[in-house]
Amino acid sequence: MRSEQQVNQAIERYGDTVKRICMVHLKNSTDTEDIFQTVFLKYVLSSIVFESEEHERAWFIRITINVCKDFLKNFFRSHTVSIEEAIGQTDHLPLEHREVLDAVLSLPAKYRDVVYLHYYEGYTAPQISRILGKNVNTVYTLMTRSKQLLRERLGGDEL
Amino acid sequence: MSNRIQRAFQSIHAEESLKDSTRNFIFHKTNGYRNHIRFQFSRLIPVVACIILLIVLGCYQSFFTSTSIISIDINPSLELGINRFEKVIWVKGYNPEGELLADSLEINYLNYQDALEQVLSQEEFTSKQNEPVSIAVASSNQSQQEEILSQIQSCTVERKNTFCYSAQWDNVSEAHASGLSCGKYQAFLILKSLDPTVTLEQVQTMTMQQIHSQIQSLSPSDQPQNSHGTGNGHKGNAGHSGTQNNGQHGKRERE
Repeated sequence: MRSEQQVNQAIERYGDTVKRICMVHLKNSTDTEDIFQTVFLKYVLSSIVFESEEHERAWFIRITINVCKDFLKNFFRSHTVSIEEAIGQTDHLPLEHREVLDAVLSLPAKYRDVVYLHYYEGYTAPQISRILGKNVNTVYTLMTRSKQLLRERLGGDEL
Repeated sequence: MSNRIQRAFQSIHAEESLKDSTRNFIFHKTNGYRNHIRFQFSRLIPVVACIILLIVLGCYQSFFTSTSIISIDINPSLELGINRFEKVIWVKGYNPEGELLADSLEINYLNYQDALEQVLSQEEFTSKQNEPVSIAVASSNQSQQEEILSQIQSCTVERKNTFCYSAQWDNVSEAHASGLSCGKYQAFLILKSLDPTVTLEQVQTMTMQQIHSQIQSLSPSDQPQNSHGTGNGHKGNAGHSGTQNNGQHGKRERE
C-alpha cells in the first residue's frame, strides 16, 4: 500500500487530469466525486511500480476511463442522457471555454476520449490506441471524424 | 490546431474541496494507511479446486487403467484387466461361452489371485480337467508381468494341463481387433508360423485344445516335450517362441 505522502503527491499531480476525464464522461459533480475517489483509492492499493512519470500518468488516464465506463454500465444507473445536465457542468467557466467544452461534451461518447487525449494531452494515435485498447486505425478514424464534427459545431478551421 | 481545446480543458481543475474529500475518503478506507493488503485466500479456491480435480482424475485414471491382462482360454475365452494395484478392473469374454461366463462373474476390484481362483473354480473349467487351460499374461510393465506370471504358476501348480506363459503387450490391440483374447491370439501366431495357411477365422472357432494339437502335430519332432509349460512357453514373440525348449504347446500330460 502506498503512503499518505505518495497519495497526496499523486492527487496534486494528477487530480486535474482525473477531473477532466470525469467531466468528459460523467454528468454531475456527485458522480465525478465518486469516480475521483475510486481512482485514487485504486492508486493507494495498487502495487504497480511505475517506470516513469509518463507511465504513471498513462496509468491514471486508463484507470479513470475504465472506472468511468464501468460506472456508466452499472445496471442500476439510468442510461438516459440529459444534454442540459451535461452542459450544465461548464456553467461556471468563461464563455469562450464553455462553448468549446460544450461542443466536446455533445459529441458521441466514443469521440470524447480521443479528443481529450489527442488535443489536450497530446497523445498520438498509437499511444491512444494502447491506452484505450482500440485498433490504431480506429483511433485515426475517430480523430478525423471528431475533428469534422467539432468544426461543424464550432465553425472555422482553428481548433 | 488544438489551441482552443487545450485552453478550454486547461480551465478545468480539481477543486480543493474535491481533493480534501478524497484524502479523507482514502484515510478512512485504509484505516489511516494502516491496512495492508491481506492475502485473499479465497482467490486460491479455484486453484485448489483445479488441483483437487486433477488429483482425483489422476487417481481415477490410474485405478481404471489396465497395466496387465490375464487371458484364460480353454473354450471359454476370457480376459481379466488388471490395474497397477493388482486389482481386476474389467472382465471380458471373447467367445459366446466366455461372454456368458464373464457376465456371471463378480470379480471386479478383487485381487487378481482371488479372481483367478474364482474363475478356475467355475464349472466351465472344472468340467474340462482333461483339456489344456492356457493362461497368458501380457503387461506394459515387465516386473508386474513377471510377478503375476509367477503367482499364477504357483496357484496352478496342482492343476493339470495348465499352460502359463507371457504374451506380448504389443499384440494385445491386434488380438482384440481380431476378436480374440491375447492368449488365443498368441497361440494363433505360433500356429501360423508353423502353418501359414491357417486363418484367423479358422482359429476363432477352434478350442485351445484343437490349436494346441495342431501346433504339436506341426512342430518338429526333435523338440523336447515338457511336462508343464509353466511360464517358459512362447515368450510372447509372435509366432516363433514355440521353438523354445519348454515352449511346446499342446496337451501336456502330467504323470
